Amino acid sequence: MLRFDHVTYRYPFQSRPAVNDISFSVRPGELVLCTGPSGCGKSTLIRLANGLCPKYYRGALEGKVTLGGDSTAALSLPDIARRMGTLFQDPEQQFFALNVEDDLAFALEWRGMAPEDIRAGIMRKAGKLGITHILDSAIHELSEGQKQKVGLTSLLLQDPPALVLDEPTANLDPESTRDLADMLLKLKESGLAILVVDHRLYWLDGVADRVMVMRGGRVAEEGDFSLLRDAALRETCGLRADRVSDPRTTLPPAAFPAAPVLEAKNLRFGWKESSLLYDGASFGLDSGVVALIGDNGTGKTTLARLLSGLNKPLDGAFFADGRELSPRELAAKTGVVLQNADYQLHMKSVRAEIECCLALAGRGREETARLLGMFALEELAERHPQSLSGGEKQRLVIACAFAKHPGVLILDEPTSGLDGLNMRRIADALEDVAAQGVCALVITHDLELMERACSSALRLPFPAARDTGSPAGLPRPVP
Amino acid sequence: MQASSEASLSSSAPFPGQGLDVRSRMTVSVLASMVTIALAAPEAQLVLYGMSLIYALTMRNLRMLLIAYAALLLMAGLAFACVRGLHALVPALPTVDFGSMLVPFLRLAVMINVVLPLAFSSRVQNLLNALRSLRLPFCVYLPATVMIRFIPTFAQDIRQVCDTMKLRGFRLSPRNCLLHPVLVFRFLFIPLLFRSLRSSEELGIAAEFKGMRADTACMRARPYRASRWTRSDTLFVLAALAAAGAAALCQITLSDIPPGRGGMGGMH
Amino acid sequence: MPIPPVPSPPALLSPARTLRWSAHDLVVLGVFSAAAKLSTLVVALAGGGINPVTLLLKNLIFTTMLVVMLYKVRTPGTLVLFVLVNMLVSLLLLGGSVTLLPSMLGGALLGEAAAFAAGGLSRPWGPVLAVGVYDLSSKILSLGMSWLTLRESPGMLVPVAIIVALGYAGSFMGLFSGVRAVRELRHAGIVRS
Repeated sequence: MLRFDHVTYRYPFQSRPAVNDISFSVRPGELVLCTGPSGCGKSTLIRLANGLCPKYYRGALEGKVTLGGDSTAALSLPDIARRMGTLFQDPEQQFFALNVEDDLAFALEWRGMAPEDIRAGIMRKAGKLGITHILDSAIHELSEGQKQKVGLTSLLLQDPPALVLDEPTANLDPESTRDLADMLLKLKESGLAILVVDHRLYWLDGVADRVMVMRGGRVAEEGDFSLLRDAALRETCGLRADRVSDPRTTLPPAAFPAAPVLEAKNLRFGWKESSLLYDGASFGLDSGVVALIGDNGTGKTTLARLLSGLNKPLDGAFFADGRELSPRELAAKTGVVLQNADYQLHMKSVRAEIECCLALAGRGREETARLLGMFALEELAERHPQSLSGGEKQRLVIACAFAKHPGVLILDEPTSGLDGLNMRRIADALEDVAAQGVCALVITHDLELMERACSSALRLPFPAARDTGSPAGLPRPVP
Repeated sequence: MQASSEASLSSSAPFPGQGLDVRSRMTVSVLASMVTIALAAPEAQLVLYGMSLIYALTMRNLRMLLIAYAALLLMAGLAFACVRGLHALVPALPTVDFGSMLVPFLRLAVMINVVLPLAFSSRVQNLLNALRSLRLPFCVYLPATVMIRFIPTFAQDIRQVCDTMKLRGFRLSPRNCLLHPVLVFRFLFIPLLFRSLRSSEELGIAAEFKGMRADTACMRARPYRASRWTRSDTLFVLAALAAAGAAALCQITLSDIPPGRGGMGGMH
Repeated sequence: MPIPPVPSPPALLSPARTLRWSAHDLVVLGVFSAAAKLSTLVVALAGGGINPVTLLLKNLIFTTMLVVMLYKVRTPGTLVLFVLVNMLVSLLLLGGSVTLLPSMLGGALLGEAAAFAAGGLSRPWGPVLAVGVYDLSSKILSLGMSWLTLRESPGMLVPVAIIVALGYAGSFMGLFSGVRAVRELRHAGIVRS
């Protein structure tokens, strides 16, 4: 269905090719996984498959990419899209409407279909993919897993014989990841040719027929999934693990320490008075890397907002060193790294970004060199922050949050979309921070990060105090 | 969790004006704005104001209307004080009195009365459908759709950008706007600029994949959802025309300013 | 998907490119319109509508966005289209005044004409010239519209003129920050041309 024949491609203004002499094919009913370290040419491979390279990004293409026997060079982008649907990492960025049904209808409207046919098509596909119950929902209300399903349904409405998925699990929780694997298995069995490019590997064990490991723009290794069992290969190519355990159930609960870095007492909060997220919750945070675990909607991000002073609890208070903290003191005590690093970068260079954070925290510039060194950013000091890779940006925003010398450092999904090498770097950085007496509270779906870095877990929802007899059911400090 | 940005931009409770087609509401807004500028007699403005107020009250959002009026009064009061102060300092500069401010004030109030029901009856999602029924050229339809699609997204983004500022220890306050405009500019503007560039890149690609072009069948096909022009719309526009006619009649019969010469008449 | 350095404007997308703007150009226009509208709204709400610095800042941000957008989409008529789309959505959704439309549209037409006379938007300074003329002429024209609204008490035009002048000062600074932003985007590797 999809075939690359000695393909070499170079972006405009670049001297080196992004991919070099690539040949492979994806047959109907086959799923091929392509992986490799950041910058190895995976994304370019997808752009070559869906025609964006060179039709959109221009550049120089040698060799031939064919889709259903026709060269993509001879097809327009909409023609290619009808033969092969592309699902991107953040499907929300592809939506043109604000509610699910309207977005699904959008692409079909552009094909001039009658409203009745559109409605029938949507109902049929939505039923198959199990999203009928969210057709009336606003896009903003959907979970990441639901967004992926809507994006996939939108593609399948055009009945393409092939699919290409670009890092589809980067923002998904383990349950949604498993759902996606099941869905891809069914689609594969129905005869679709599927190419998946992803850093996370474990979820495709038993689903992928073949694996390609790319490195430096070339296919370094090719084989079946067992290829990824080679630990040396994974280490050399900066890959993630081929199998993971689920530490969410095995991590020990965060103990109520005798002298916590930060302590919350009798927290009460809810976005609506009628449905409280926490009611009388008490907990203490000790130094170490702590995973904040809970299903969607249990209030993980909300807890981070309360801890950082962005929102005030309806009731309850925070304490450190035995005394209650004012909102200003609480804000000074916590450093937060939000999910999207792009929103947290404002300056013209990495150095200026850190200096700005130090200035706002009331600290001197002399600490800049220490922070650059601590997060391996020295060589990037004069680069524009927005030009950094995903892993580099994450290290920078962690360094910025650390500029406050916080007692508690809260990180929201710090490793989503990162390759194995960068994930391990972030894990090491968190362990370094924890070694300095800081509590690194990590909100993450990344099982590998949890397994590697976290020593305990704070689980949500907190049990109601009246059910357990002790605040939030947590262990009492040992006298 | 939090009230959606969509809800914050528009009223979700249905009201009589919400059943009207966006085209009729736009027509009335344009008509009212033109007539209120053309006429100059206080009696005519009072007729327009009264009629437009009835329309505004159908919005059933008295709070929003009062806020808009309060803002208008505040601005007018400040401007009044400013002009009187400047006149006291430099007598050569013109001054104002309350009587001469009546007509301009009513004009602005009429515009508020017709624009608020238009803005507050347009739920973001319905507006996308309404745009299709306006039968706009593709080059206006697509960017307008994208703009409306991104307003709730960017409202959410700005919230995150403001959160980031707070987390860094910087607040978006009038004081900081005054003392650190460069920092405000960078904190607010740079993330949004890069976000805009990335979003436009990704959505632009999606548009190409979906085959969006002016010559595709979609621009001629029946929309999946579209609001319809009903008899209520015709009656609504006729009522607006009647109100405009009544206002013009007032100017002719009750005032010495002929219609169409309001500008010159007002200057004398 | 990380975005690599992107050539601007994008390449030909379909064999039959008879349209003035590609879908991609129109999407850029829509996204920048939303961003410009909301960021100025936030500054106005945060700083207070009559705070002089707020007046400067919101005009500065709007003009900066406009300059960057015109460097991305350099098709003749883009400025007029931007204004049309902004006014349409403002009218429908944000309570924008109908009376501002003629002055903004007139300003945009003059801006386009000035850029055309100087060799078009594709010239290195074309976008800055178009935006500069647009800002100046739309502000002057808006004063004309204010006169029509306030003609019974012309003294009220004095504070209006002060507000418009402050806004224009912000817009004028926005021309420079727009150019700086484009340079910064080149430094970041986001814009190459």
